[in-house]
Amino acid sequence: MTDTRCGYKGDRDEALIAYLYDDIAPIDRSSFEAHVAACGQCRAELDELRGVRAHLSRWTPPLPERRPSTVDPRPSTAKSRLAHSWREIPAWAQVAAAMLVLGISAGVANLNVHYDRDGLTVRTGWSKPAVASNDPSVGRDFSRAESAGEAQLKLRPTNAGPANDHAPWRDDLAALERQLRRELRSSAVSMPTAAARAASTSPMSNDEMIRRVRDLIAASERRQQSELALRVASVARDVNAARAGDLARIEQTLGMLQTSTGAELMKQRQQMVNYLTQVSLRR
Amino acid sequence: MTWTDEELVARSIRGDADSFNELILRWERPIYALAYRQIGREEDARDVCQETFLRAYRALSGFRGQAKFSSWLYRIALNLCRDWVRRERRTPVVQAPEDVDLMDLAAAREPSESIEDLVARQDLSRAVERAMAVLPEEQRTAIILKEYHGLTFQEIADLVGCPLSTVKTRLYQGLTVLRRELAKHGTVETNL
Repeated sequence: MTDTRCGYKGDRDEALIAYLYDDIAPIDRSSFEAHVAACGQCRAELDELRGVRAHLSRWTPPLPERRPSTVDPRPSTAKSRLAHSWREIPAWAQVAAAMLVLGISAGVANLNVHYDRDGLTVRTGWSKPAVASNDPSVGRDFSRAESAGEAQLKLRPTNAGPANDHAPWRDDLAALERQLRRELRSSAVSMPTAAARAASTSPMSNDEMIRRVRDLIAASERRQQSELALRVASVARDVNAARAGDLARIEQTLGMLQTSTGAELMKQRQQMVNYLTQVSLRR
Repeated sequence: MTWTDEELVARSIRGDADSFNELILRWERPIYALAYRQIGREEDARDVCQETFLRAYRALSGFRGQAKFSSWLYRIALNLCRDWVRRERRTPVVQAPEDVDLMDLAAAREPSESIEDLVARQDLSRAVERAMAVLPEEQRTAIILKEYHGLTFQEIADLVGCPLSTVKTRLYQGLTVLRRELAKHGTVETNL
């Protein structure tokens, strides 16, 4: 049995805190450890303070998940810069690129690339091709036609000239690539504009410096806020999907219950008919 | 290659803004967290965070490396927090909204964490925040720097300009008050 009153020689509170945070000289640690082994009061208090520390670790500031807010010019981070730049590309360009990728990957199974007066047709599936649209308003753009078991990705030039040896769809792809590259370049340039400007070694005024740092921080915050919004939307979508799944399961269970109840009623009714039949026959 | 803070500072002084950018990336979050825990308001904490980097940038040429860059930043941020508290003449605010926004809750959810666990975690977080708001500024600062930023007693003493033993005493007193406050709300049990 140990003594519950503390008889530590020295500043007990300081030693307790130093020991608690393990920020203590080795000789003092050994000495205090020996004391704690014999002192119930110190042991109990240490346990409680550890409990408080455990609770403190739960206090998290409401900081959204953050990503690097600026572009690192070093080559080692080129991948992350590219990933960041991708998010800056306009939605239409992302959709166009995604459609292209989808069309190509789906077509691996049965890809049919055809170019005629109507433009480029990338067809996948095993059924007959759909009738090509002649709507001139579509212009130089993608359009998609769907028929049973078939998906088509069409790239049609505005001036559909006669087919020649030089496959025109290459021009379209090249144009799309050029456009995407332009977007990538412009977004990569626009993000670190402040940083790039500040990289100049020319002397600048305090106001200029302040403005540049403010720009950097504000740009960082804007991006982080939009990322948070995306995250929230994604979580909300997940929650809705889970709810829809739960509702479907509940409906299914109710349906099963109704079915079994109906079957039970039918069975009882049949038994009643049989009984009445037997009774009537006896007479 | 990863540059040290001090190397990035030297490059920034020579005019390389990307290096200062890197310092912001590296320290933006800890400084914001320090400011938030000191003053308890998101918006003001963001302002303090921005102002800290602005002041650091303006005073960069005067940084001689006597202390770590992080300690220097912490000092600027703590001074700004202190100014804020004095200007506002109040203790840190506890942001505990009556109406909990489910979207915020969902966004804060860890993967594999149930809604019940999430709510319990947020309750606990708010209980700690409330208890911390009760502490005198010196004790709160000592606990924040030790608990959340992992500074040594000596670093805290240098930062706030007090003897080492005072730092330990403030920590002990602060933790004792916290234990009592948390027990009041049934968050921890106490035998003392």
